[in-house]
Amino acid sequence: MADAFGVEVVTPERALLAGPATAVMLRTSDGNLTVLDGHTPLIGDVVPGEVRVEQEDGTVVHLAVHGGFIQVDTRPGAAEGLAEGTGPIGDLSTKVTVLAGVAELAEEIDVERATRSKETLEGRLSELRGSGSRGGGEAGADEGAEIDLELLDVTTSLDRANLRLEIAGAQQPV
Amino acid sequence: MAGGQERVLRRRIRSVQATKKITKAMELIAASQISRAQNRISANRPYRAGMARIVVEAARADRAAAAKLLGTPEQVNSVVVLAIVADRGLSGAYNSSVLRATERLVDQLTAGGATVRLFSVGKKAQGYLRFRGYEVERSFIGFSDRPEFSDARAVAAVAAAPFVAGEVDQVLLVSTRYYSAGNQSVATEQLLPLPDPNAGKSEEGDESPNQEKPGLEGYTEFEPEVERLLGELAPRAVESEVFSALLEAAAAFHTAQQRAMAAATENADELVRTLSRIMNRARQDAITTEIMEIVGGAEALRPARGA
Repeated sequence: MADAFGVEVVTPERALLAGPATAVMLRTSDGNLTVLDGHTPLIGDVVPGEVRVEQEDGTVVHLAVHGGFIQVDTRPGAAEGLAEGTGPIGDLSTKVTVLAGVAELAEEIDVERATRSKETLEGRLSELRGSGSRGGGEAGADEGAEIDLELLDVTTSLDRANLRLEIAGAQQPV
Repeated sequence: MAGGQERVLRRRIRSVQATKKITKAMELIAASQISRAQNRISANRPYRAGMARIVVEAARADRAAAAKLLGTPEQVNSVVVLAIVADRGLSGAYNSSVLRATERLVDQLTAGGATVRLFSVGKKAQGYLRFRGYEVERSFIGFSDRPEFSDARAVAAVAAAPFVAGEVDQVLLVSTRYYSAGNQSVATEQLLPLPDPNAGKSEEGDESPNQEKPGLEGYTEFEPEVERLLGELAPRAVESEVFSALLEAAAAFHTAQQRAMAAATENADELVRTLSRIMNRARQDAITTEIMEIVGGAEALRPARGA
């Protein structure tokens, strides 16, 4: 069995997960990445998608991460500073930190809510697309910029809802 | 006649007591909000520390790329000032001390020849600054009590946009920092360019102890390369800083409000005591006068009966 190392997945609102793990799998802009114990120090970005953390007992925690960063820290004592509330976890020397502005544990995803927001967002999206092409000429530049902004907003929210549904779905036993 | 004064006083006492009930309730509510706000600050700490660590490492790895985003500009021609206060008052000097500091900063920058663009969070900023003739370009309201990360995102995007577009040299943040339950104070911080963590160690107060340690033995891999990573990192770091400033400002606000309302409650008690004393004296006077009148009246009647 692989050796354990410290992992924390934190958002600005709270630490989603902190403790020992044996593997972390995620995707950076350069491709898929699996971090095992003894990985070289690394700092990378995390593209929106699934992050899986394999724990010592073999269970895998699935998380939906909507973009963020990862740091693999191998300095001595790195794992001591693991997210508060968990305390130091032995003499683990490697710490993996996943920072995400928005992220959630797969088991905590509210499927119903995500489905609902997906529907409203899709509706709004087609509305915006429609008005964008129609008002192209007459709408002022300001209005156009506002629509662009909202379009961006709606698209990101929709991406999030889709990712949530995908990951919550993967979690369910088939 | 004399009863009139007594009635007026009784009415005032009742009114002060009603006010006291309100201030007492506000005090208790604020007190409960403090601990919630404190919890949110500590829940935010791992993220903030992690963000700081990454910025430090990335900046150390490629100083040339970092130079564009980090450090203090020598020449400031135009600057964004972001002031964070609350939507509500009744919190002692909380709002006004931040706003006064903002005013001073803006005047100082203007006197130095820089153009200042003002942004604010909190309803109280608008009125104060507009009244004094400062133009607030964009003002955010509605979340100063319980800021969410998405709020911080929105504020950070607006405040950082002029810097990203190259219109300003610096973005400054004026807010109340919450150091501990008993220690909060107004501080001005540089939001952009990001304060260079490797330059002045003393600049940043509470850094993780890891930072004091020398660089990683060997090297850190970057995915993607440092320059691109820093470009992605900077806006996220600003969001994180704005969010923690909002959280701390909220905690400081509730603390200030609790303190102000406790003082108000105490003052109401004092007022009730003084007013009751005056009222009792007035009542006594009225009774004495009445007795005197009765006695006087009886006295006046006696010889009439005797005669």
